[in-house]
Amino acid sequence: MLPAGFTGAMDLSFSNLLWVGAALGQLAALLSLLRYKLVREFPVFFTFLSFHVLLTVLLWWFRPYFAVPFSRYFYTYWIGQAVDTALRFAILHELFARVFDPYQALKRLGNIAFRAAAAILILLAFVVAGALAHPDTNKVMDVIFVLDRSTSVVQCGLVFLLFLLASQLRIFLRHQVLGIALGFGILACIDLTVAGLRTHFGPGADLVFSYLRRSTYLCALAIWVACMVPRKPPVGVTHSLPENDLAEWNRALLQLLNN
Amino acid sequence: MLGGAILVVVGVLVLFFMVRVTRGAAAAVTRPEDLPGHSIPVDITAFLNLIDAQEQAFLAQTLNRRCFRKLQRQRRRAARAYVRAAAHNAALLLRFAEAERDNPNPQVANSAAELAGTAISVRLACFMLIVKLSLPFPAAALHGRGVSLVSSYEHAYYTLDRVIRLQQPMIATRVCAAFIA
Repeated sequence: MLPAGFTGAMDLSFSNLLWVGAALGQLAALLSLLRYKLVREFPVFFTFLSFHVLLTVLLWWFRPYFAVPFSRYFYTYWIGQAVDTALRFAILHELFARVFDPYQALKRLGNIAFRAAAAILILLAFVVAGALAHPDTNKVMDVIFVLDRSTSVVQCGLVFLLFLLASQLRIFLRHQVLGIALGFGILACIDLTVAGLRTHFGPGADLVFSYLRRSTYLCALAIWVACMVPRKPPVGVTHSLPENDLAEWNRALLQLLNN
Repeated sequence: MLGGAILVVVGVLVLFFMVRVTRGAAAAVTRPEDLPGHSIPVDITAFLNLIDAQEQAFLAQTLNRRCFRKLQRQRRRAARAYVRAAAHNAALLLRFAEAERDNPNPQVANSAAELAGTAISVRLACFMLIVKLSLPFPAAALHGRGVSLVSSYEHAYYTLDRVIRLQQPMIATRVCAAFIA
């Protein structure tokens, strides 16, 4: 039998570990973006990472640990979640643009697909979220979880659409785009899975779900850091077009005939 | 309960799909020599014959109704196989073009960008035509789409020829021959 405070202390230390890991991961991803000069290419993703570094510091500072009023932490956390959701959508739009813009034929298709899918998924998400509403004791939390589920459905659907279009059209996803999309895709899928599991297990398992989501975020950060490292392009043999090709052939043929 | 289970299943399936697509993306065609081993030659004349409206009208006149329908089904099946082969080749060309886009020679890079754009157009045209070939569309509509597809495919073929000729002129003809029968 473990002492009463032991599991609580273990939770706290694991939570701290995840917190510090996420902070370091975000910083590493941010520095990778800066180091490999990818900020201009992925400005929204850069904003997302910068925002998260700032949010992590704020939340760490506002933790009840330091005898700061809980309301400050609560509002910072949820406002942060709202901004995070908006930024995630903006990043998905950025990824769609990065994937389809190089192709003239797909530029419009990508834009239309993103908007149409977003509109349909938002409608679907509210239907799903409403149908799965779990009666939480706190009404505000109930609304927040409905919104959270809705955004999970929409994000998961958009990432799925991106991968589906890319795989069906055999579009080459540059490894940075692929890495960022994969990271967000994994996050969205786990969020969706957790939302589904929460309807069964209820708020009692929130701590486990929180750890699962935060661990997934660490995985996503690891993918983002890894995908920022540029790969060397395959070096092919490059010749200029020989101008005297026919003359050489003619000479060789004459030689052959003379022999 | 059921809704929650559906969300879990959807989440897990999407996750697996993404991982599969990501792993598939690693197998790339980067050198011209890689192309002939993967491509399927397309007989353009035979394909155009299969979707020709006049040819179809002639068959309708010559054969009895039952025989004509059966033959028409087979012709459409064959045409779909050609379109699928063209779509497959377009995917290969796209991979190759993307690899060549970063080529230090600007002529090669520009031609590769053009090849990528054309290959995408071919693939989109293939999708549209496969849908039309699977539904009872009139022959004239199919013929128009088919001719447009062939024109894009030939454009891709000549652009590929240019890209390879700029780098390895000795193998250009052999590589391009693997795309048109």
